[in-house]
Amino acid sequence: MTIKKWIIGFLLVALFALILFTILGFDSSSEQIQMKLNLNPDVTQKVFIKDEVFNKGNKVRFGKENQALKSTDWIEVNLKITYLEDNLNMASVKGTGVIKIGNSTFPFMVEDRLEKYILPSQDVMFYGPIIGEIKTNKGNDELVLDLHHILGTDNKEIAVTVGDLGSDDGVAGLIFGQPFLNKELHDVMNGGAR
Amino acid sequence: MRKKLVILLLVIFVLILDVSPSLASSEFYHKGNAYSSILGSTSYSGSTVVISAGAYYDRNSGQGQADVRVWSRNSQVLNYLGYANNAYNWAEADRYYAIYGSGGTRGDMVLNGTSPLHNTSSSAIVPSFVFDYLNFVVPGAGTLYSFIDATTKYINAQSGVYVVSVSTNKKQVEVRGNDFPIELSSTIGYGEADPKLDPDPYTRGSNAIAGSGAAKFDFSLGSTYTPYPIVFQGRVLYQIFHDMDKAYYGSYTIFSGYATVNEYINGGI
Repeated sequence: MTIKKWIIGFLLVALFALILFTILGFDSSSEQIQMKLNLNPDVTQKVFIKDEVFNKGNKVRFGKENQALKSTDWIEVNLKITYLEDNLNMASVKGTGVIKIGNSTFPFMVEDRLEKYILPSQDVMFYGPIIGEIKTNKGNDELVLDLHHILGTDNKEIAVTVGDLGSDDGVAGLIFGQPFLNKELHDVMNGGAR
Repeated sequence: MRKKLVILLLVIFVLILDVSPSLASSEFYHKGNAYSSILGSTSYSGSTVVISAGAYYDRNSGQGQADVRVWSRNSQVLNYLGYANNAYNWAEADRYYAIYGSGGTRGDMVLNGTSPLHNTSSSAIVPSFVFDYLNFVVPGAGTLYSFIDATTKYINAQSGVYVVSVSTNKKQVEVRGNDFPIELSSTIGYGEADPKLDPDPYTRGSNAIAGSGAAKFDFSLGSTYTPYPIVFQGRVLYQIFHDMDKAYYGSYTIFSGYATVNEYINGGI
């Protein structure tokens, strides 16, 4: 009698799990990326070296010149990545986020397509721009969020530019996290040596 | 047998007429070259993108075709951003955008299609230097060329082509890849980019232009209204690589400005 109860109980749990699985679904074709990265002032200054463009751009849009940027500033992003049916190496990406500089926060949204790279280690790397819109001190502006990330690892970096080279107000440029692209990874991205 | 042959010839004749009405009647008019300058700069004069635009319009059928070609300025952008142009720092043109549409508020232009044609996320071959029309006319200078150009090349869009509507009567072709060979050398002025206007840069050996981004737009005008205001635009998304410490690259992507040609369709001028 006890065994019978156990079997019935097991079957009920299995049935419940099956119903839950059917309702919620198991979507292997998409994934969620959430990350919060601190600003990297040292790398930001080393990479965005032209003051006339980037100091001006950061000051106009985020209220701080490069020298005033701090490692306590940050970016937070929530991205939903959905692989496309006709090309599993390409994904559509949609998401929202916030950049915090000083005491101010700047919300943004992105929507674009992103290329996926399979590394020799079989790890999955996303490395590329995602276009969106951000509300800054200047108003609504075009955002390029360059996501550099190897899934499941601490290799996480986001390079942000806001505005374009035709703008009178320069271009804002910020680096969050730590760069990890070396020659080998770049060669993988380009399908061979440069 | 003879009857079948006649029918076959008729079918071929009809097909030729159907496929190439534009070739039979097309006379492309150069509508202008343009560049996006580096605005706000006190220390650098240059451009970040160059376009050349042409169009034809058949007043009788109300049908037309427009052509936008886009060139990048990799080395100028790199220099402007403060990097030495060497093996450790470089700029790539990873996306280009060609935009065409009505330049005014009149809503009677319909964009019927583009080439590249369909949205695709896969790799695609995109025509570059396509001058597959019979006559190319520069207003005031007469017909420059009257043959199908033989310099057609192709560039490989590794990541896909996307056609989106910017607005009701404006479309954008976005072509994505890695390191497109569409750079216009610093020694070549924006007005020299189009080989139809000036074939000389294309024969200067080391200064030869490797290719251009290209897109075509089919349109129709609901009325015979001319002149009709039109706009051509182009821009490039650059990926910049900067070797910070000989071990890791700092990299980011940055948009050029828009190069814009505002013109009119005059149905024969």
